[in-house]
Amino acid sequence: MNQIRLLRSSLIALGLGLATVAPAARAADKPVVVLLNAEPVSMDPMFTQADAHLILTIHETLFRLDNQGKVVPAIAESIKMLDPLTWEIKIRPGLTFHNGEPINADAAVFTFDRAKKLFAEGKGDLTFALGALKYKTMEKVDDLTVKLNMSEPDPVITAHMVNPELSLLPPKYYTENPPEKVAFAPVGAGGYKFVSYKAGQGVVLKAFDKYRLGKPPVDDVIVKAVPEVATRISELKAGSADLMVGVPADLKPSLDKTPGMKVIVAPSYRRLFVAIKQGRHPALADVRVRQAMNHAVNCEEIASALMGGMAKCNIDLINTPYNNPGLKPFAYDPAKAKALLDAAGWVPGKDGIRVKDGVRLALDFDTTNGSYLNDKEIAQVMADSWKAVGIEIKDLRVIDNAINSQMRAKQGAGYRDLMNSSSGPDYTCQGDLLLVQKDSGSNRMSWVDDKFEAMFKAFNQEFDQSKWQKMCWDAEAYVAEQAPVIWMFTEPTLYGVSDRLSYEARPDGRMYLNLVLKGVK
Amino acid sequence: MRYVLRRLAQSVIVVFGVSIVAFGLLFLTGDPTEVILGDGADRMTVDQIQEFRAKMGFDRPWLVQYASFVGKALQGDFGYSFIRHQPAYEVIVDKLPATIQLAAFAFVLSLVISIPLGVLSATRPNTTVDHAVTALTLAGQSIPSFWLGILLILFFGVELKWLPISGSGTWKHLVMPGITLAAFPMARNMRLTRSSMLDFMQRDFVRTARAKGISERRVVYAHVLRNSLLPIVTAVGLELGFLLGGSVIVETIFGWPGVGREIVAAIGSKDFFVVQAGVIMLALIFAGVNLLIDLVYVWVDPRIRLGG
Repeated sequence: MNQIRLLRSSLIALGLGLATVAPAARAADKPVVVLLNAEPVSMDPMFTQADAHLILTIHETLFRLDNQGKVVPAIAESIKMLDPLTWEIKIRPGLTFHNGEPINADAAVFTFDRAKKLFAEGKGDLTFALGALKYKTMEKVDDLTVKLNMSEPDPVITAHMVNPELSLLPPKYYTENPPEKVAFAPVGAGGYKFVSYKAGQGVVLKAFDKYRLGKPPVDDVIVKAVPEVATRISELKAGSADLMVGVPADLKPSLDKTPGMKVIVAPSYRRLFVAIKQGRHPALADVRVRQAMNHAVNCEEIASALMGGMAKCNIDLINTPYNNPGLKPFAYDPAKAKALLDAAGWVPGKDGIRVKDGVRLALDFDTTNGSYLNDKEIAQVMADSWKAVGIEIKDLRVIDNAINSQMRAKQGAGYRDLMNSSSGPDYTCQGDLLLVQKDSGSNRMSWVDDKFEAMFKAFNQEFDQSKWQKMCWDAEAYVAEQAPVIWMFTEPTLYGVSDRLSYEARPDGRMYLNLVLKGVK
Repeated sequence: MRYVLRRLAQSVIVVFGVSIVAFGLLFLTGDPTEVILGDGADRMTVDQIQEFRAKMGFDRPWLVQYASFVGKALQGDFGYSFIRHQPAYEVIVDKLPATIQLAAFAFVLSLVISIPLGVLSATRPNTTVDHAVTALTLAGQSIPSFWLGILLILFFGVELKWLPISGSGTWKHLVMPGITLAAFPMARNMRLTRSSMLDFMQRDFVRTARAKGISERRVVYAHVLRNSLLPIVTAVGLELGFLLGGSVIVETIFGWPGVGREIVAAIGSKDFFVVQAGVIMLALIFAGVNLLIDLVYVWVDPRIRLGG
């Protein structure tokens, strides 16, 4: 009996103890809590690519992307080409870093020298940034002017300066303090000042009142790492967080009904398509067959039924804002698909599957399962659509992510005839075109087209920006028509946002917190 | 001495086996070059990708790579985290205190709850209390930790808002991950205490003690429980390894900044050297604790030493 009494008393005590932990009242001055899926690797911009959201929030680059995804001057006021290998950059006057150090030519030279030195020593995470911006030196001209000497001509130099790794750093602070300190006590020139960081408790940030675009509308922000998506959603539901990225699309309907929060759907830069591998089946070398395969698929119906209406079918070779708005996706037209196949000499056999010179139009299709929303189901629908016009998918294989990454190696050497695939973002039309360029690692179709290569080369050597739009649109239109892939859509990104937060999603999915947090109630 | 050496050799074999698995992880997931580069490969030429492969040493025969891996690991060099830009070993060691804190809390929690409840159940067989404890044991052993964790979050975090859902920093942050981690060992210890106690309660020396007029409380605690503790001590010792290794899922669910979460994050970011260092260090801890328990057990119960 004594034990029972003891047990009962313990449970009551535990209950009372927990009950004293009263929920805090919600207030407008409560910090905005942003949930990411991983602790920061570093907050030294030159040592991480994984923490772009934080780096872009604390630091500032010479040029950056605005909320529409366009490259705009940031710390730089202007840029002028002196010759194809020399650029002059003017810095905005009167700007300071968070610690009061002035933003001037010395800071720019220090930053670019530091990057170059770290890269030469094999330190830092600069492969991508310095692989894109191929400069030799930066020289001070006067207090607010620098000269950037390039190792090769670069028509899209400003786009290559938006990478967060090249955020400007205050020379005194970064010289006087050891690397292990500055990694987790950063000083920058971005919209938010670093206050503190502890793993499990998050990065505490405060709005910088001398930010070049004015003080951000939200004063206090905590960026916290919560790896498990179900836990992040629970934090939002409980009201202990305000913003999360990567809400699973299948949870949107139920979360929409959850009081206190909303789900915002925004486009992303991740392009989804079905890669058509060259060199295995002879039919796929014929542009008419590839066009027919595009016409045979009802993308709109797939987007509506399997993507919940959140994806928009388009020719997704070039990301916004550079893509050709006049370009229309291949219309769903099975009759036209059949006519194109007939014209290419592939005629229906006894079982309806098309044949040419004794070769059946029977293909192998590999699909991932869960890498993208409903990818396996989409592949099945496509297989049925192609069968309706006489193209057989003789083996629809579901593969896991690990095997997919193995198959992607060496320009998709392991690919069979068809493979659902995706490609990440770039900031320029030139960069996006690499998807189909013959030497690019992302061209996993082994698609080589001399006319496109000539267009690409000319575009990459053109410094006159007034010609870029036409060159970009022409190249995109040409590739679209050649149909090296089955064009689908860009994958939507879903953000979970508390009702008290006003949030503007960006098309590139990046969270410059000073630009996307618009206010808090 | 021969027993000690044999157990030591067995532990070395276990760690050696784990090293093969940890090394194989790098290749099971496909071409490590492509996996590590991920989307970065999209902006590289085939030659640049090949250059990276050579720089990382992935173009060598796997046996050569394995020999190099073991040779360096023996010197404490598990490679360099190309995500965190520090030695993989340090990445794991930095996170070890948080994991030990959580494991220690769960360990104490499991003991404090399981042994009294096991005793309670054994001293009241076939009563409502006994049935309740048995049901609790069944639930604790059959509910997966990720599911229990999410249930606790939904109830105490989302509905009642009594406890913080994720992160660390205060005692409140320890409660839910601690309960989730302790649930399985707690249930097992309850069951073990109950069955061990019931077994000893039938023994002659207990009957003799009662016949001598010793109080029931003294019979239970001084005679039955003390004798029942030997198998419990063994199980409890093994739990330490389980709690350290089992925290991988719990730390991920609750955003607890320990070794388990670091390993999961490293898997996600393809930081294989950290995964390898984490797996091998957990294996070393597990093997070390097991070895220690075996040695303590021999010391406590000489029959094993003689049998061995």
